[in-house]
Formats: sequence, structure tokens, C-alpha cells
Amino acid sequence: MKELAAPSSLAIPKQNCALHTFRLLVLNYDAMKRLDVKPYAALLVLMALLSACSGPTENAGSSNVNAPQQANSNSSQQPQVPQSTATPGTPLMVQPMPPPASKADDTDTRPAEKPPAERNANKANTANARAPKLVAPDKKLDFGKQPQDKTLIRAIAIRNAGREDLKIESVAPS
Amino acid sequence: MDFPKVLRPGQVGNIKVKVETGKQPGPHTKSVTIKSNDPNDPSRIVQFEFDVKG
Repeated sequence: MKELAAPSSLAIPKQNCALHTFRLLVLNYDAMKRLDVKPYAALLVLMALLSACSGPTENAGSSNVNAPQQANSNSSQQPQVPQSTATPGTPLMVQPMPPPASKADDTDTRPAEKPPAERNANKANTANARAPKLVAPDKKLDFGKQPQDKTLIRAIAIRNAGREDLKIESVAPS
Repeated sequence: MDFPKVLRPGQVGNIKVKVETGKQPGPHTKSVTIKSNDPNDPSRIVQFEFDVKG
């Protein structure tokens, strides 16, 4: 390393110490220009970065107090993060979360059972659909003009339109 | 009366009705009642008419 020629006003006791050399470089610009200061410049930059990064952390949070609001100002769809109301210095309280409700209480996806009356009605409907059905003439049949004292024998057509056997119990004049 | 006792599903039957016209001239209306196991219409009435000439 070259020997520095410091002015008499900035005379520093010659000690082969890095701190003194650094101080001499800071105060004496001419000496810096003469000296190969590249390693020192890198060291300076590194120290400046370290000092900037290791600044006081007490106000680190306060400088970003409005960050959530700023972040949410453009997107209202995002869920609001609950803000802690604890005063500085008090320990944060952890609130226990309520247990999740069971699924059976929320949504019952099973189809609701029909009331007995409706079930009976449906059963009756299905039974009726399969039941025998008598189809007979609705209109009055016209046998036309007939002579006196005559015995008429006519056939009345009937049909079973159901799905089970039709049992004719009786046919009687009325 | 002559009628089928049982009709299968879709089967057609005939009920034979015997009617005496009598001596009274003029229109006459008669009916027969068919009783069956049809749950919706267990007693079905079929009417017919004829006119007796005098």
C-alpha cells in the first residue's frame, strides 16, 4: 500500500491501523484520488447498505400502517383482514376459533321423506294405474222402434282397459 | 242376463240384455247396472231406449 501524504492540518498519528487509514481517506479527497480506493469504495458501499438495512425497527410497522387499506382500495372483493385493536405494548391475545359446524347440520342433501298421506296417495295412484277398468257405453243406446210384446236380445259391448283382470260381479236391470 | 265373469286386460266382452217391449206404445228407457271390481267405477249403469209402435 502506498504511503499517504496527508496535510499537516489533518495530521493523524501514524498507526498502521485500518480505521485510521479509512478516516484519512474520508477526510482527504486528494489522497483518495491518489490511492487505489476501489476496495475501499466497495467497503464503503457495503457499510452504507448495512447501516441502511439495520436502521431502527420501532417505526418499521408504523410507516406501513395504511398498507392494507391501500392494497384493498382498488379491489373491494378481497376479504377484509381483521385489524388488531391491541394497544402497543400489550400482548396480542389469541382468540380461539369456533369449531366448524358439522355438515349434517348445515345441508342435508338427502331427499325429504314424503308424508304418509302423500305416500299413500302415490301408492293408490300406482294401484289405480294397474287396476282393472271397465269401459262401457256412456251414451244411451238406441234400440229403435220395436213392436209390442216382443222380446229383444241385444249385446252391450264392454272392455277391460286396465292392467288386471276385470271381474264382473253382477249385471242387473235397474 | 248373460255376461262374462272375467275380462282379461284389453279383452272385450258382450253383455246380452233381454228386454220385453210390452204392450205400452211409445218410448221406453231401461238400464242395467254392471257391478265389477273396477275401483273407480264399481257400479256402472248403461241405459238404452226403444220406441214401441202402437
